[in-house]
Amino acid sequence: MKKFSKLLLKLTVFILFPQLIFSIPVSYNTDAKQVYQNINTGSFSQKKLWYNLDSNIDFISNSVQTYTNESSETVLELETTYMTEFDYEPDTKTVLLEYEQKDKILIKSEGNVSLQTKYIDAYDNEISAGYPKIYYKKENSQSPFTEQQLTSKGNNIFYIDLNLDYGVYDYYFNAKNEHYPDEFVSEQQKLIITERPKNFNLVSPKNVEIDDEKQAILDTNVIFKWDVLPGVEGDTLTNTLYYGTNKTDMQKIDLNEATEYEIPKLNPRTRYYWKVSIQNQYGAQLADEQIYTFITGGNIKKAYNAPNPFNPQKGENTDILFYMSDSGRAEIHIYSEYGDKIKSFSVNNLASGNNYVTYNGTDDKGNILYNGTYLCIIKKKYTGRTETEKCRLLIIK
Amino acid sequence: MQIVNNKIIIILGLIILATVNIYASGKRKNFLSHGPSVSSFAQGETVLNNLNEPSIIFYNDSLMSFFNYNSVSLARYNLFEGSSYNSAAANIKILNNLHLGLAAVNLASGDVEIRKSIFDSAKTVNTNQWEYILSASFMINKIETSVGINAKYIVMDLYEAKDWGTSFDLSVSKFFKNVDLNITQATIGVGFSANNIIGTGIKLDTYKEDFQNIFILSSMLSVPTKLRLQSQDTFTISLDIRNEDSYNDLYAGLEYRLLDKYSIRAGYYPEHITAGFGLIVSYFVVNYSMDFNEVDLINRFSLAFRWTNKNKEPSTNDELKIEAEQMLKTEKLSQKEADKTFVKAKKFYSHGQYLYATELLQKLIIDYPSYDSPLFYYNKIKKLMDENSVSMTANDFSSYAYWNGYKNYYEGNYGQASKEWAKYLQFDKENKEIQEYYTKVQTILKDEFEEKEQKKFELEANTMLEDGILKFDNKKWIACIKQMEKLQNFVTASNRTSAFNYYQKAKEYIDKAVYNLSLTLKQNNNVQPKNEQKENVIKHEIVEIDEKTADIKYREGLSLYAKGKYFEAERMWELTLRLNPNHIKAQTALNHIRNKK
Repeated sequence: MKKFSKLLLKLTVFILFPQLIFSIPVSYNTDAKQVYQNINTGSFSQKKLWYNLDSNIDFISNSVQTYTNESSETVLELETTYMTEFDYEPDTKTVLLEYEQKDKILIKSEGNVSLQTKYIDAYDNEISAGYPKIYYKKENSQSPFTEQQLTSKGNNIFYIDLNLDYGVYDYYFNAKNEHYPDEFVSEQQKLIITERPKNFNLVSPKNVEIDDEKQAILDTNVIFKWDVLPGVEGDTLTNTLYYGTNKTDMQKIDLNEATEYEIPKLNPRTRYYWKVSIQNQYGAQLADEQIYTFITGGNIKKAYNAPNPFNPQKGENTDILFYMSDSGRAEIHIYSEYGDKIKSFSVNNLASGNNYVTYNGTDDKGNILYNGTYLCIIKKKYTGRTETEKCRLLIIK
Repeated sequence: MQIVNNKIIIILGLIILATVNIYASGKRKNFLSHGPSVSSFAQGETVLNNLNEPSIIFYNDSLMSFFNYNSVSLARYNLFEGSSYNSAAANIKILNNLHLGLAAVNLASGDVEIRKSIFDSAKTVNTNQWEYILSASFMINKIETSVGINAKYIVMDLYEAKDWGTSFDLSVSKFFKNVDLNITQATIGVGFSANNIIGTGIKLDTYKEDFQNIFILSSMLSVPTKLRLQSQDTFTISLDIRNEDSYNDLYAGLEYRLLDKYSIRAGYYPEHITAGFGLIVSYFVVNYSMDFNEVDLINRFSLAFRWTNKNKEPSTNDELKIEAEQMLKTEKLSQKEADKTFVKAKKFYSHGQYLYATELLQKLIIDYPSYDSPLFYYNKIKKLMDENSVSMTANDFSSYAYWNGYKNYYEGNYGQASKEWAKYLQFDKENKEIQEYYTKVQTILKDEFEEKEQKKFELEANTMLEDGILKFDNKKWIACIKQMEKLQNFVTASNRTSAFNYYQKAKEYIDKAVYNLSLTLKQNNNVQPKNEQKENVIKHEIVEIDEKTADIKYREGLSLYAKGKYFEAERMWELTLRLNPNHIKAQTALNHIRNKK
């Protein structure tokens, strides 16, 4: 029966907390933390290991797995389910400073160089007077670390504003309290004081946001060009060009220090989007990166209409675009999918080149067409000859 | 004059079509405006004459009640620029007067370029529109009218917009068979359907769009044709008027059907001219249609598989069928020759050699009485001769002489015929036909005795004819038939040129008498013995049993049955029973054919 109960318990734990069963400890440290990795998913989770044992513990929390330190080892086995009452005072390092564990880049022109950290203690012991402290010095400098005390912001958060020159600095914090007289010392971090690239100036192509054929550029030898200056003299800038017909899916081209790029051929009669990403050697990027747009020109190779689909019920029209190889007139015929003629009209005195006519999605009697696809036939009438082109209209009401 | 009139009618017809065409253009149409039936499309998308395709339920599903089979069909046609129309349909007979149908149709757009603005790069998408139909058709036996209802589920999947809706169709149709049009008997069909009524509509973007109401008033007229010896071919004219979006359109179709198996079709509907064919091969029906329009040629193709429910009819049916087929086979042995003769006669007719043609046609009429076609041509020649021999035009003496000679020859006036043809030969000495008949007439005239014999023959034949007419006038149908058959035998034996006039008159009276006899029998059956006078007439007539003639009529009935001429076969077996009430086979056959109806 007991065996059966154990089996049932294991099964229950397995079902409820499968991540525990499939988790393995991957690192131990003396900061009273353990990092576990789920062997199925590869994800990491962190467990806090201190707890108050001066009370009856009825059920093992899933956050309690094992406790290990250098002096002793107590293993709380999952099979037991319940823990008996006992006194236990863990010998643990309870002083901790939370801090950002990565290199910090600060833009000097955008405000104070400010660093902060949070003091944490499991037994709510007050931090000792004069703490926490910061130690910093310029990278590779032979001079000793400068020591300064941080100021409290409340809620155990401490900060310090520094007035430093541009450059790279090493720094770390320390703290202590009465319960644990040894100083806690954080890992050494990098602090970079720098400026963003500046004075960006778009040279070409010109930003054109409206569908104005006159503003279109040639679709060949498109030169992307801009000017930019480093934020701090001597900074190395890296330029990356992004361009494409879709704002959210642009092609990336690494240009390094070059600020000009030529594309021999783009699609004609197309709207393109592009942007430039510029950063210095520390990763400080150009402020206000903007997406620019332009349109390419050229002759219409195949007749089309836009917008497509369109909703004539909302008063939307569609433009039917086509190319005339010579001056003349054009007849526009709209047919249903079965070849029923729905509307016919013509436009006279068309010049050679790209032309367009606007269609409002109605039949000859003025009725708005039904939902669906329609065939548009454009008969281009020149002196002595006729050319025909087709396109498909889609009406969605 | 008549030719001129015909031309005027054709021109007027074309003007009307052109007017309708102009009036019809410029109206919105969409996915629901047309159905999938390929045979219908070949006939200008008219509805009623398409009982070989279950997909007709998209137009008027009450027609299912007139299907005498279960079937499934598939159809596809390519439209323009990659778009296509695909459909599948099935129908099944659930009860004697209840049919169910199921159908689906898809309109796929092919590639459509999507752009938000004129400089956007195009995105190519495909759109689909679907229609699913559940149909029921119910035959109201009392009024021989069928009613149908369609429940439809319509889906539109247009790029990023998708919605569905439901709607209903109501329809009614009726066929009148064996309608007497004086010159021939016809089948007339009428139908009406109201489509997409009580619909939910569909909303794809901002606007809820109702499905358009389509009302179709259909009609068709089908008549047997006489172009071939076996006159099982039919010619059908269909006319529909459709009301859609408050506008009326005219749809028109023609079909020539051979042996109820092979069809050629043509038609018109606004801005479209259509043509096509249909074949029935074993269990399969194949239909094809071409659609000529301003955009491009549309090819439509469909394939149907048909089968009937297991035979629940009495076993006598099989026996009757076998007997009828054997009868047909027996007849077919000599029919090859008859076919050749008929083709030859038509050739003479088309070449204007009416004397040769008449001789062959007379032979056919006597030898193959069940076929109408030779009679049709014979009557045409006779009418032509009668009209032209009295309407001489000054500049066409030769034709006048030909026609007048013809008329006198067949009236037995050989002297006058000889004079006319002598005149004709002055104009055209090389005409072999006239030379031959001129010689024939000269030979007859040499014999002085002949004139007396001719008068004697005329007198006797006239007496017999008048006697038969008297019996007809007194509504003694059986006696009339017998008298006229006697006259036919007499004139056929005489081998005289004027004999055929009597033969044909006798035939006309026989046909009329048989027809009236069947009417009398029907009335008698409906108004049971209350009408004693009529009953007496019948009883009086059937006193004398004539087994020999009865057998002949029974076999004639079999022959007609094998050719699918059920109405005529029924008449013939009714006559058989009048001639011999103990004729068990005729009684069985009659029961069978009445049950079948």
